Amino acid sequence: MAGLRSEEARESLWLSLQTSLISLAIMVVFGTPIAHLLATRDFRGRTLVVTAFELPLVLPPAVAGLGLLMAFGRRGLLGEELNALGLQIPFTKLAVVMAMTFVASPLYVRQAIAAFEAVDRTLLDASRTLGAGSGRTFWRVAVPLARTGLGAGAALGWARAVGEFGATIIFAGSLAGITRTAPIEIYVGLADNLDAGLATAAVLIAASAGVLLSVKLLSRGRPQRFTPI
Amino acid sequence: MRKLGLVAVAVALVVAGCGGSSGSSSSSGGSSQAASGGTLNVFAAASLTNAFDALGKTYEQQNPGWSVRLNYDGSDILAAQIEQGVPADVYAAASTKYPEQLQGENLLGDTTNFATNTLVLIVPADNPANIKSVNDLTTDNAKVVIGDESVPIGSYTRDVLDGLGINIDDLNIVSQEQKVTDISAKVSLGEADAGFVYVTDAQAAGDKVKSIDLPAGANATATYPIGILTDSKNQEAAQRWIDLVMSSDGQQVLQSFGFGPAPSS
Repeated sequence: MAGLRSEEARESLWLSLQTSLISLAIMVVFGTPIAHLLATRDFRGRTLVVTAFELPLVLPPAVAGLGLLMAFGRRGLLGEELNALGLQIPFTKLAVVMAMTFVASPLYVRQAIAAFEAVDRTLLDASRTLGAGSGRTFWRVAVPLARTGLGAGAALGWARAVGEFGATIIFAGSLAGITRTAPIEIYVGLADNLDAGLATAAVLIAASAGVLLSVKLLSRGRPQRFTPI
Repeated sequence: MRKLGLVAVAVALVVAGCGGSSGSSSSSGGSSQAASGGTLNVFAAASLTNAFDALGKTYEQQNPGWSVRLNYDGSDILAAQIEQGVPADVYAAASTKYPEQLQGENLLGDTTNFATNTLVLIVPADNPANIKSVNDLTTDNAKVVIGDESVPIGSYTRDVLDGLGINIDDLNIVSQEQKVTDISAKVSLGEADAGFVYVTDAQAAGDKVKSIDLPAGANATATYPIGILTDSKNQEAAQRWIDLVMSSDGQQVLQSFGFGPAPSS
């Protein structure tokens, strides 16, 4: 499509891809053990902890952006500490990644908790009785058994990260190549670069549809069953 | 090729079941019927926010039965919304560029210039980067927020920098915002060290920001045209809005918010 040849469209899509993949990596690395913990342990205040993790899911993105600014902005709660480390987060790619991770990670964590809860406890117990430690059981039994649900959660989380707009524009601003992700580029180009906006939109629609479809195929084609490794 | 893209996006949206925003279409139906009352949709540049809010109250007092719905955004975003058929009666922009574009597409009638504005550099009240003049912007890597090229404040800012002989690439620009109110917000919050806004925005931000005047010879004058949309079903009510804006009362309100008088032309 003609619009895709425009520098702005390609730059913004590339930036979105980079930042959303980093965000996805953070979600998976930190979200998976947290989800496993929440799925397998029952403790006082568990509901509160789960609610806290899910809150960004229902929060208006503008509130999320403002919250991030109040916490990590130069004048924010942690602003002075970050400043001392020479770290100023707003207006950087890190801010984009943080906004994405904040709003998208609940989608992954929710799905991951459900996936771990669906794993047959007797298999985990068997692994432990046969001498595997909890780490080994997590890696060799729980994760492989839950992998379909984890994959679906990762796909949804990634798609939400790519779509992030409200929190990003408040917390990270809008600068081509640094913080102007694909959704923001569509907004910026609305009046004078509609072609680029339409091309970008078409790519995002195709990507979103692809993600949804693969989630559906993933969960239908491969029923969860125990596969020896 | 552009058509293809349009069709692809439209089809996808319809399939997704979110084609057509129900809120805006139903409201325009309501306002179109009653001649003795209804809703006047005024699309105005973001810099007009406070002044038009005040004028909206006056208008509703003077025209019982009418309510004014004000939609503020960057002049370019508003123009794009009008081009895509969002129902509007009056369009007030912060430069002549987009009104002329809409007139070229027969979407907007004749316009009247009703106010002027000038630019100013603002810094947070505690001035963390210690900026005393516009020339300090290039030193110390001060974080500067400006308007995007597509929005009037952004193009005026580029004119000013050109006039001052400052290369825009020498500035540490951290964000190019889509409307002027977002620039003053980022400076008010202290996230940016400096930003170029209209004097009216600096006034609206109050003591959260400090204004630094630009050298008079290098400042740009923003001209604000206002006009009625060709498709408006509320032509008379729209004309009454423009009359109010041009009246001495209306001009006084605008000037109380820092705008310059309508240019004589």
